[in-house]
Amino acid sequence: MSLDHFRMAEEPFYTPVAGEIALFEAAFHEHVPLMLKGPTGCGKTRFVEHMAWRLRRPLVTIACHEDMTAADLVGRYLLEAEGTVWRDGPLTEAVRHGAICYLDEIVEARQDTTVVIHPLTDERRVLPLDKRNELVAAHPDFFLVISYNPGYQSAVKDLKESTKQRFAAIDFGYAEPAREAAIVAQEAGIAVEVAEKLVRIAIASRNLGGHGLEEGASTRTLIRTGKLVARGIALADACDMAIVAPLTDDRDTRGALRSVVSACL
Amino acid sequence: MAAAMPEAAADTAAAMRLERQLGGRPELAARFATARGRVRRALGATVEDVWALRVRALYEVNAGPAVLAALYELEARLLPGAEAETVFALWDNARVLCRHAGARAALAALAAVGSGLPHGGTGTGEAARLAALAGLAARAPDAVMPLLEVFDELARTLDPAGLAGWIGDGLALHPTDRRRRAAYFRLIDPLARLRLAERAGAVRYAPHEERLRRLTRALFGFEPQVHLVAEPALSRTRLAGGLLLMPARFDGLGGADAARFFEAAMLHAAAHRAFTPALFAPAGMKPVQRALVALLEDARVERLAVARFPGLGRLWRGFHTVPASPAQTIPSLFARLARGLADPAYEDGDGWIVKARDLFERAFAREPQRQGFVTEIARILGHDLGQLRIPFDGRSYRVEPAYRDDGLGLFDQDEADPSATERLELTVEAARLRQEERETAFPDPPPEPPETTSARPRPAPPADEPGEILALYPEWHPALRADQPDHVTVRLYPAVTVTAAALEDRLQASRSVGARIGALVRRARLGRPDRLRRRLDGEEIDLEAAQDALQALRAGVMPDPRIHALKRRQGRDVALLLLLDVSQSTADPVPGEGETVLSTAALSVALLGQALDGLGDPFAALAFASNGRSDVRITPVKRFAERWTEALPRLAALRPAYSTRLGAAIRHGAAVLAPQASHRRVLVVVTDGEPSDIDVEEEGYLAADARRAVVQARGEGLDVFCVALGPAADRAGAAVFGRRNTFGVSRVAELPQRLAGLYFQLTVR
Ligand SMILES: Nc1ncnc2c1ncn2[C@@H]1O[C@H](COP(=O)(O)OP(=O)(O)OP(=O)(O)O)[C@@H](O)[C@H]1O
Ligand SMILES: [Mg+2]
Repeated sequence: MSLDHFRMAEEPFYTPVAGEIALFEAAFHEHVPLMLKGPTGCGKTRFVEHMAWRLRRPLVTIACHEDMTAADLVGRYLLEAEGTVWRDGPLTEAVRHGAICYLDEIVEARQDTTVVIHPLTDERRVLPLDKRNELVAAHPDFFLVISYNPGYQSAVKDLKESTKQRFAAIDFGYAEPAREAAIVAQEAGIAVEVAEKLVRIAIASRNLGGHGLEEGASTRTLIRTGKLVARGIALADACDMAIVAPLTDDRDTRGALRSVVSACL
Repeated sequence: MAAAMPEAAADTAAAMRLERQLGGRPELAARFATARGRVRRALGATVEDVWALRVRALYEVNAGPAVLAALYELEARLLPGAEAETVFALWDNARVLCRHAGARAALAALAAVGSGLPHGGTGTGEAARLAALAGLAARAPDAVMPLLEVFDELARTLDPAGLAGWIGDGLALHPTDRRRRAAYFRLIDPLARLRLAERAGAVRYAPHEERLRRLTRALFGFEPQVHLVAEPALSRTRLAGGLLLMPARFDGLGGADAARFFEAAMLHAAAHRAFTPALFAPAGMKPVQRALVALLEDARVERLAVARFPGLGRLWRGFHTVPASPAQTIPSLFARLARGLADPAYEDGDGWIVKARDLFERAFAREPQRQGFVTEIARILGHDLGQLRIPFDGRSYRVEPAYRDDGLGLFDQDEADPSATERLELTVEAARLRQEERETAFPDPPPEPPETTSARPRPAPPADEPGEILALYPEWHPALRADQPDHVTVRLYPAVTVTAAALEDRLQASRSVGARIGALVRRARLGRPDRLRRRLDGEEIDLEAAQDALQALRAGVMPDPRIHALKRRQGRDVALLLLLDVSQSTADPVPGEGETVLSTAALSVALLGQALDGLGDPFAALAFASNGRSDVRITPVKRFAERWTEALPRLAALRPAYSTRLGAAIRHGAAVLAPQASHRRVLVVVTDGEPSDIDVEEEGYLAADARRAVVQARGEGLDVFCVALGPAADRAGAAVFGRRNTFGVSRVAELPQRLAGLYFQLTVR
């Protein structure tokens, strides 16, 4: 089984913000698993895609969620006509065939699920398949990357200290305003002046992180808004539809965001 | 209020008859003839006859020549502009006034209504006001003269419908008591002023608070510190250190504009906080210069804010409505200058304004960040006003537009003019409050290390010092069938922490009760993990389902693919807020115990608290009492975020005092409980009787308000229950909370056993 269809064909557009490319490459070669920290929609996924392309490795991305079980990661017995057969999960495939495995939003998974990655993150670099009584040794090019958003975890939903300490971390934030505006303008196909206004709105909304909002508007949100504008939707309407309404249902917070939008336009 | 007329009772010759009656009084007859001619010319001959009928009717209730003359005079000003109906309404209502309140009152009413009536108006407003007065005369003739004493103020603030509504409020509030009724209609009764503001469409800050707090944080990155001030003397916001003093209400603003108005006010204050880094030194400045400094600084900080957020310019400009004019008075010039600085498109040819704008534009273009240029320009402009001999009256001066702060907070207080001391006291008071707030903010203070909060005894504020304002709440008036907004002030009285040794001893002594409660807790907590079978996904195979599936496969039938199983723990999700009545009546002894109602209640709460601590249900407790509507006293016993152990000393320190304003306590409790994220939010009130307070005489008033507070809390999704103590309490409780939600504990000594039991009965499935 090959993971060729998980290879990037074209270079994903990515604007480096600081030295993150060199850091990633070093970690990859030293087999130091990596944690990308930062708010949602700030470019973590895009960065990993870009690095997979750069390093010419297939990329297996797994979006973690609360109902995800260890079996969803490592694999399970399935019933087939002849009886039960084992089917590798995506993590096992990446381990066997040497892919970059990206566990997106790992805290969303329950802690009894996330412990299965522990043996992969230390010297052993193995993945035990208990149900099958098998110990899979990792391919030399296997590389584990997780993303972690420190912003909105409640104490209940945080990474275990023992998990966190197995990773080296790169801090991601939103790009500084001028660069963020350039990214938004490029990705959405809108004028930089319009993108600048959007970024100003986003910065204001980010001030409400933890105060009415879990997080403010992300770069991704701005790009989406920009695309609506590029399609001819009026700027104020696009903001309402793609920024204000998705962020919150609370009346007061909505009112505040609407005023933010009109103050910035 | 037009009384029925013997409508043109075939009496077409009314005018001639009246002329005959007036025959012996040539002067009256002459006036009548003149008025009659005027009516005929303006309204026609048919109307003239119906009109004459009314004149006669008035004449016959002994109106006297002065009343007739006053009406003729009104007509002279109105005709030919007015409709016949309007003219008739004036006569009809004058007659009602005469009949019920006498000619003197009627005459005074006509004079009041007619004063300032322009020639050629339509008179509909005047007629409607007179109708409102006639309505009052018919129901409470004694109230007409008192009202007329303050009629000008009423007419200035209220439209005719508002006047009628305000009169109706007074009659509903004081249907029989003449003395209190007179006080209402003279505007001496504070409630009369409140109703006046309400009827005038006063807009209130409270509904906008949360939104504006977030907006300010979003745009400026800081949280505004707002203090509500329910003080009529404060007509503009005021900056006080980092605080913003906000009048609880603004009179005479349209409700529709309120959202934008408060937004403008809040962001203006935020602009000061962001861009006025230093206070101005008032020394050596004349009042007019100070007012100018404030005005120019307002413009400067708004400009800076607009540079960042262009939309704010639109927001603020919307409130600058003063038109260009040749007037050379301070209010006009200042309002126009403010507009000119906010709105480049505004044109005003006044030399002083042109010069002021020019000076400002140049200075701002050079050094927008430098506050000092404001003082320099203010000096020049103030000097010019002196040369122009335009007087400045500091006492009557009001900053315009109304969204701007009053400017006092821009100056260094220590050097300020002593004539403003009364105002400054307010400022200082507010600053002091803020200090306290930082120490005792409620709910949910930042977690402190436990030893600092529990061990250090904090002195109680002296009895005469009002606690910090936590909130203003409306109160329901059953006679008005309306909320009186911001009627009740809820204040914070932090518990004195004493040693809890005695209470702990009693807890020890009640161990057997504690053990029984402990068993209840274990039962509530157990909530065994459920095994969810036959799932599409899961951690393990559901063997039974797998067997079935295999059999199905063997048999060549389509198997049910749901062969996994999951384990899930179904948690309790209940938050409790306990409201404990600590009014004076809880000092009563409990028969046969040597304890008081309050100390027994405290023990019960301690037992329940212990139990909940073990269970992990979020739990808070507040004690309440009241000393009139301006002082509803809340003492936090336990906050949601605190450990239970911190509450014990506070519980031990509760002392009975004051009365029971139940509705306000429930509203406050609901406000504290509502933000809890739990699935069920339970509010339990422990009280020993009917609501009462020192400033309320009307029977049933407070109970009606409490009932409404309960209904509203339930409307917010809270479960509200009452634990009623004492033999008679459950009836009073049921009247407020409903029978099914009231648990009577007639033998108070049993409360410790019962309280926790009740709670689990309510919350365990
Ligand atoms: N530095 C960057 N260079 C180019 N594009 C960027 C950059 N940062 C963000 N973007 C754009 O923002 C979008 C969102 O980024 P991405 O999906 O990588 O976010 P994320 O951090 O992975 O979010 P989440 O935590 O929700 O998964 C991308 O699709 C991309 O268009
Ligand atoms: Mg100001």
